[in-house]
Amino acid sequence: MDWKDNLDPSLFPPIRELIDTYDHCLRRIRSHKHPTPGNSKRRDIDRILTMRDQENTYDTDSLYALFTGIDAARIKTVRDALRAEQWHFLKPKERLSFLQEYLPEEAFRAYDGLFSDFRMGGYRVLGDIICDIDDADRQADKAKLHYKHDTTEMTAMIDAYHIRLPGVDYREAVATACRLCLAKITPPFQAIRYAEAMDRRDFIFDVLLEEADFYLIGGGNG
Amino acid sequence: MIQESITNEWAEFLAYTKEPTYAVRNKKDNGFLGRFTMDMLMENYGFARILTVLARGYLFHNPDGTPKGGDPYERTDDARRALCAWCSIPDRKNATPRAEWQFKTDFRELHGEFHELVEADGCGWYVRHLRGISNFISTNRDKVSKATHKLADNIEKLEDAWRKKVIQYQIPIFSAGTKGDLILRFDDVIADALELGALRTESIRLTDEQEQWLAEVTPSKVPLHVSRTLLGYYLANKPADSDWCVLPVTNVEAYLGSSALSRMYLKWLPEAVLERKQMDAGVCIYKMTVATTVTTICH
Repeated sequence: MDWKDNLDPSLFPPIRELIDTYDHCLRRIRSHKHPTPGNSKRRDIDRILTMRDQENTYDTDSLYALFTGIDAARIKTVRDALRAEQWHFLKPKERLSFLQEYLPEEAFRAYDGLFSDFRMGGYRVLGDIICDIDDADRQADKAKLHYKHDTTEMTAMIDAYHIRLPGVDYREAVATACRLCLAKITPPFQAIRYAEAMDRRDFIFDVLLEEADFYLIGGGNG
Repeated sequence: MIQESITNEWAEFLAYTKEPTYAVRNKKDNGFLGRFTMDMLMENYGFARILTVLARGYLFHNPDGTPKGGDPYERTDDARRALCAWCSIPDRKNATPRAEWQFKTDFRELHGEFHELVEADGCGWYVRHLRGISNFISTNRDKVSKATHKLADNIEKLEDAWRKKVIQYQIPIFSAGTKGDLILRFDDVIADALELGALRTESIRLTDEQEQWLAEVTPSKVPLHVSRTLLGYYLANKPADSDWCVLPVTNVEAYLGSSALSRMYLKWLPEAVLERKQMDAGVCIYKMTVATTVTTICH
């Protein structure tokens, strides 16, 4: 008879869910610690301006600054509209109507000429800025640690990372919190067998190493 | 490789769409590459201009080069299909079939509409040209320059790289999650083509004064046809509001049939003749100080 047949089937779903939460928590922390670098398209704008001999007329940073007051939802709306209305294929008059509809503030009128000048890939100037800001907004959202609908276990593990003592490795902090959550389902030495049955030896080494050391190597198994 | 003036863009369109001939006179003659250089074929450089010329040809012209009536803005889908047909390349024999939602590289269904661009087996003009060059090199290894052998030796890798490019070309502009900037997409190509308008079907001829000026100022180590080409291109493409003009170095080299332009000639031309600002690989912007009176002649 296989040793796995002695395990309680009702314990598999909660343990599996906790291991998933643990994996997810580590991914979230890593994403927070090392956000993907912004895919800035400033170089493309600089290139377009240079090719049009306008590198001294416009400053790319100031162009980005124009959009700083606009909230993320509206930036996304503009990006969706750029794609839906195929901004890059609009005729000159339609370009101005688009700009007035989606960027009605007076401050933008001074830039209608620049944004609607499509020479040398000029349709990308507005598109690049909007996409960059929208990407940055998404990235900021991804880099958040806590989310509204997080489970208690996720919150506990994220909190453990957040309040860990200086010098404590984030993996160790999360593993400690995870062990506490696991203990509410089944004693950690029992959980080793479930994790092994789920082919998650990596989880055993990460979270249940002490128990494994004692019960499997140190003779506690006998 | 020089037949028509570089300023005749319709001739350039034909160089990318007509059936090429493969012949070689001596080891220095790379004429069998067509209007391509080894860099373009090996690294896929210079395709922004090639695809834009193709798109302009299909947006603005009838097959005989005469202007097409109607609204070119209504024909962006036609241009996209033409580009897909030209780029088409069948999958590898043992490739996993692509899911419905994935971009594909084989556009054999466009054979009926663009029979000059794609064969019924899915081989587009470009991949046929690539294979044509490769076969020519393989059967004439002792007659062609040794530097070109690597193309025939790596044809499968080049075809794989082209498949990846064709997929990348189809990525929609402004889409989220696009890694890297300066990637070329059909969207950019067609938008640029609309902005540039119809292809120039006439050549620009230099005036006697300009010819004389070039003969005087061109250093002896730079062939006169190179400085004539640069001036002709400058006069044809200089924007009205600036003295600076973008030079697609890679494509001009393909026209000249040699990569000596970027390696030597541009550096050897004195600033009094040609002033330039280097940009990315394959492109620079330049200014030529000369009387800009231009005459055009029909070909």
